[in-house]
Amino acid sequence: MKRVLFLLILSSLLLAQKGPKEIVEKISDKYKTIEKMEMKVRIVADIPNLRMPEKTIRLYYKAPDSLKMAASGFALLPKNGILPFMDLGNFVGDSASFDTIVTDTLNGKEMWVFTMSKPLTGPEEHITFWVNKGSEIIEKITITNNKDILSEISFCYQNIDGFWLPDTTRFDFYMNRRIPYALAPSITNPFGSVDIGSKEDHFNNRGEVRLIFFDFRINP
Amino acid sequence: MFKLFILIKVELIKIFAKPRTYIGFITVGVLIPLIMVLIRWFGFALPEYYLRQLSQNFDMQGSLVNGYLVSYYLMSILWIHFPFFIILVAGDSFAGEDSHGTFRLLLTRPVSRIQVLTAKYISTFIYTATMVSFLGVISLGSGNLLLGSGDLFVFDKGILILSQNEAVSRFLIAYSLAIFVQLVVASLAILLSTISENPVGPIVGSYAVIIVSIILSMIKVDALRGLHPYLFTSYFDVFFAPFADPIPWKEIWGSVFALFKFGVLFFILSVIRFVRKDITS
Amino acid sequence: MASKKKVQHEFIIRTINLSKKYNRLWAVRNMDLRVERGQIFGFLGPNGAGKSTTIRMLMSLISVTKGTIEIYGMNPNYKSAAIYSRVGALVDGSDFYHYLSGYQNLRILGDLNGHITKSRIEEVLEMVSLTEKQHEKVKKYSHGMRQRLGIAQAFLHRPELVILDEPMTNLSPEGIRDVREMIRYYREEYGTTFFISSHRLYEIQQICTHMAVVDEGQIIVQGSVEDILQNTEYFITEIETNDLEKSKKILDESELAEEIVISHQKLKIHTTPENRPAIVKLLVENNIDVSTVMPRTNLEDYYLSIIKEKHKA
Repeated sequence: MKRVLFLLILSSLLLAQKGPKEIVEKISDKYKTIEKMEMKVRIVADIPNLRMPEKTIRLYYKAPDSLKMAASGFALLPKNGILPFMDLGNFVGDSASFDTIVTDTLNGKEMWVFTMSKPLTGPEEHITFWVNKGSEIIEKITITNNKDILSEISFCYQNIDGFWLPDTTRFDFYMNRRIPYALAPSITNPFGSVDIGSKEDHFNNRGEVRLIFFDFRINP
Repeated sequence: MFKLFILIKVELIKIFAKPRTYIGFITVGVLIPLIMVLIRWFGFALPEYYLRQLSQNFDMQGSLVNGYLVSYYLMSILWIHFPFFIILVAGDSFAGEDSHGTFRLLLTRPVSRIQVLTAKYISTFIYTATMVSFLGVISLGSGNLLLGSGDLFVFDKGILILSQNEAVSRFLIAYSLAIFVQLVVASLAILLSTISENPVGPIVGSYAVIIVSIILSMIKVDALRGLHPYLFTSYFDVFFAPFADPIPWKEIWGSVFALFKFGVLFFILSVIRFVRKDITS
Repeated sequence: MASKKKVQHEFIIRTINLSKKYNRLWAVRNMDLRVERGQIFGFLGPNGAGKSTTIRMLMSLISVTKGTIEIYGMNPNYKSAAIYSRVGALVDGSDFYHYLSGYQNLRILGDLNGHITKSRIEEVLEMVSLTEKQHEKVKKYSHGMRQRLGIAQAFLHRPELVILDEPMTNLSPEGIRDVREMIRYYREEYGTTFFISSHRLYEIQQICTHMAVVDEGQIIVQGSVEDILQNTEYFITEIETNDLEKSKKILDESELAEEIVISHQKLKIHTTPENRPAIVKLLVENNIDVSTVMPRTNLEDYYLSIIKEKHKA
């Protein structure tokens, strides 16, 4: 038993020596041949106190990091995690500093897990990547501050023309305050009544947005 | 029946020949586009304020400040402000004829008083429907022209965003209900108009009744709650109901039926009053 | 039985015990009116006598406190459309829709009466001399013009019965003459029956065939003008001759006339209508040239006298 444990630790250390930057670069390299890409995304939101219709938008990607959207009306698009390989390029720069790499399991699959700190929306935020050891694709990203989880992005992939591209992406996020519980104007509440909640409600203010990808066109 | 059509035509000619009829059209026709222009210039931070919690994690594409949002917001004038334009015309329908002595011309023709009353009701209803539709057309038309179209941001136990196609159908239902609400306002003004011999009385009286009823409907005191079902203003907010998801049809039909009962009551009282009325002016 | 029915239908207007009470005051009390086809019925009385109240009851503008009304043998409460399609009325002056033109006012009123053609509207406007002003808004009309428009609307649909309440109010002397001629024309041409109220008798006395005098809501006298006046001092015959003095002398000596006065170059004689041919014959036999013989009723004097008598009583 001791021997098995020793081997595991040793292998982890050896892998860790590979370094997050190398893993990130390796993932990015897989998508280097994609210059342009078009796809459709259906956005399904489940956010407390916000109901909106499912919306299908068209996304236009241009290497290395341009992403444009065409939608009729209003659409809510996560700031991160739409195309993970593109996010890697954005996240990983000269200013990024990585914590040590560790191994973990996610849904029974072995993952490399590493965290980088980089100012995103605030100075205290950290991004943690879960990279599938076997397929070398990002399975999950979490963004946290020193106290709380801010958001968590889970990816499910489909293989299109030899590229692992997102099939369904689930974006879980937590809001500091909930979206106001605004009542429709009525004769008893002519101006509506609003309850904005409190910071203590933080973990009750969890929202979820799903992105369902289809109709890819790679280098059209 | 043919006589009734002639009477309705005559009443419509009279309504649309009076300068006061156009006060509402001019006010709405000028004020609403002006509001749209001001919002185009100075913006409207309402959706931004309500959705600011999402800005940390999301990019919001497409503006929610559009013609539909402002039109939705402007529908709240249908409670207190808009009825004035309806009362102005409906309140004059009988009392105006009485004060000018023109009933002597009208009622010495081969027409019955019930026919005259029905024609006045129908023609006032046509004016009312036209006026509310005009508000809708100007509001949505100038809004879409100046602020563009898009999804509709409304309040419904939080924020509800309706797709553009949904928004159009919801507005159609809402304005139809708004017409119905304003018809009850018109019925009240007509009833008071049959009682008074001077149009100022029914205009001020109807407005006073509406404001007092709205205040009573708004007060959340237990002692007054029992009174609410008997106040027609308690059902005035029905035109906001179609902006809920799903549309609460049961509630809507309940309110429509209650308003219908008030309308019928006002009509019956008008008939009783007008048929017995001595035309002495 | 059949003849009884026929007699009933001869009345265009018939009221039985017609009464109207305002609060504690009887404005009209037990009024029995009878107006027959083709009559020009003067409804006379001082201000406040109950004339307008009666007309308003006839036109169903106000309710009847007591009694019944029959117009063309029908009760207006049940057959109002059938009755009022045959009646034209001007009730207590004329007020029109000020924001419409004279033509538009007649157009909409005509529509309510049935199909009234444009030419008919123009015809009645011509009759009351409003052709030139027909497209001006009524708010710009003078009182006299409005009154003329009021008379025009009463004649618009060629009614069989015209009820006019103080029709001469606000009219110029020419206007009064025109209205009188209109009334005469319609009676002669179409057999129209007229029911005309007035407190100024001189305006209509020349045209009335029948009359009722009312005061304090009650009828004092009713009947044909001739029947009422012929046995009174208010029924005279005017004669123009080439020698008034000689004529007076001849007639004074005869027993054909009760009283003879020379006034305004005419002989004014109190006599019965039957004596008129004999008077003319007598004057001609005495070589007097008779140019005109005109029966005249001095209705106003009679009217004033009976009102005075009533008030004395």
